[in-house]
Amino acid sequence: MLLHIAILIAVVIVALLIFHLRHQRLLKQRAYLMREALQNRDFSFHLPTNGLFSGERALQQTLNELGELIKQQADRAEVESWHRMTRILTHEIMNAAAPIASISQSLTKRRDDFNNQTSYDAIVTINDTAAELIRFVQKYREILKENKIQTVGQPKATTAIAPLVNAIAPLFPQVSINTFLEPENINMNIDADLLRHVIVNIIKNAAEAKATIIKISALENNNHITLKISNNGEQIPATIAADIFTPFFTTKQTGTGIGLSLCRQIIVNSGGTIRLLDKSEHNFTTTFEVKI
Amino acid sequence: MKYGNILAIDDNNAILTALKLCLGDTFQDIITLSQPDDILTIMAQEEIEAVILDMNFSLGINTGHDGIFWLQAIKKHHPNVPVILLTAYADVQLAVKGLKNGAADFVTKPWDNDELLRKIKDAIDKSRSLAPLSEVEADHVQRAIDSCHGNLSKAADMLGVSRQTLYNKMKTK
Repeated sequence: MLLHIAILIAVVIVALLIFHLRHQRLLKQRAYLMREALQNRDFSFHLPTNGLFSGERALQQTLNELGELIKQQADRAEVESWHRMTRILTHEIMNAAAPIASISQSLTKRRDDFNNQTSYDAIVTINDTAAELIRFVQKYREILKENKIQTVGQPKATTAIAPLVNAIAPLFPQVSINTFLEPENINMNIDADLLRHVIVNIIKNAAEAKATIIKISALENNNHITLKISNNGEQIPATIAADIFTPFFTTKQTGTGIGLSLCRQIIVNSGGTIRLLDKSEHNFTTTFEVKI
Repeated sequence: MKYGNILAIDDNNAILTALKLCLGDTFQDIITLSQPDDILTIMAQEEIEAVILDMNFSLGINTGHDGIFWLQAIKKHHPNVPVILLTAYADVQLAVKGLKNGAADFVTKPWDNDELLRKIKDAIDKSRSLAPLSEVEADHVQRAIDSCHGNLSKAADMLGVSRQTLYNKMKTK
């Protein structure tokens, strides 16, 4: 009798041991996966929480959130450093532009000082180009000034997505916009004007890339709202995908390079993230994802 | 030529060249300085009608004296010579501080030549025209009365004249 009990206990202990070792190995695998994800700059990893004990589940959930938090902080630091650099560059550019603009302007009034039309045209060109440069810097600064960081303690602004999209749609008659919102009255924690600016900019780019259909979807999970804007326009080549949010970068002849970098600044300052998805949504060529 | 001499101070030679070219036809002479140290000496020797002072001083670091210091010095010794400030593009705060310290106007870099010329001319014209004494007095009397909320006795007291005198002055307005 005692022997049977002893064997039973032994079997149970061995079974527990085996389970324990396997469980530890699974946890190690999770740790390895998460480290790999972070090293590959994938901050949106979400490991499932089934098969975990309650303490482990809580840990995994926090780790899942941590990825997003890290990305948000990294984005914010980057945006701030862009902002600082832009301020300094603007200062230097405007200082240097002052004598160029003034001298060329003075010379264009002295037609008789020039021997021939070609030389005179040259100085007029310098003057015009200087004026263009100055206008560009002024425009960039005006737009930057509009964008204020949400300060702590202020009541968080919130915007209903459905009515906003309905208001924007008439601006782009050349594209058809389909919305999939869960729930219908879903809100995003960001100022209405700022969100409008971002959505309009993305749709405008899509229209310029000859898109005909835009899909806007939004759903809530884990206290975040994920907004996806997809279009069927020309695909963004992988070679420039990394640059599209960089200030001053543009592929258009008359582009200012302000659009997407400003959108990123707006979203980051509102406590969220914005990215171009590596893999676009099904049947679409391009998907932007905004998470706040 | 209608106008006299301009004194321009800027540590950037390119700006001084630009100013000479822009203002040379309108003013007698454009005297330029790369350092602020000689401002008062020059102004004592030459007849200066207006001063253009760049606020973006890196030179001031050595002496600890910045643009506002030199602005105040100029206004102290030559209160009737208008000073136009040249400020960096984003430096509106400094410009406002300059205005409060007696600058006639300011222009940001880069500037439009015609606008700069107009501002200098306006500043000079304004400092040239002196208001007649009666106008200055009437203005002062009115301000005194306003501050006493219409109480003539109190106002007369403040102005150091008898109530009757004050009343007469008001009648002749």
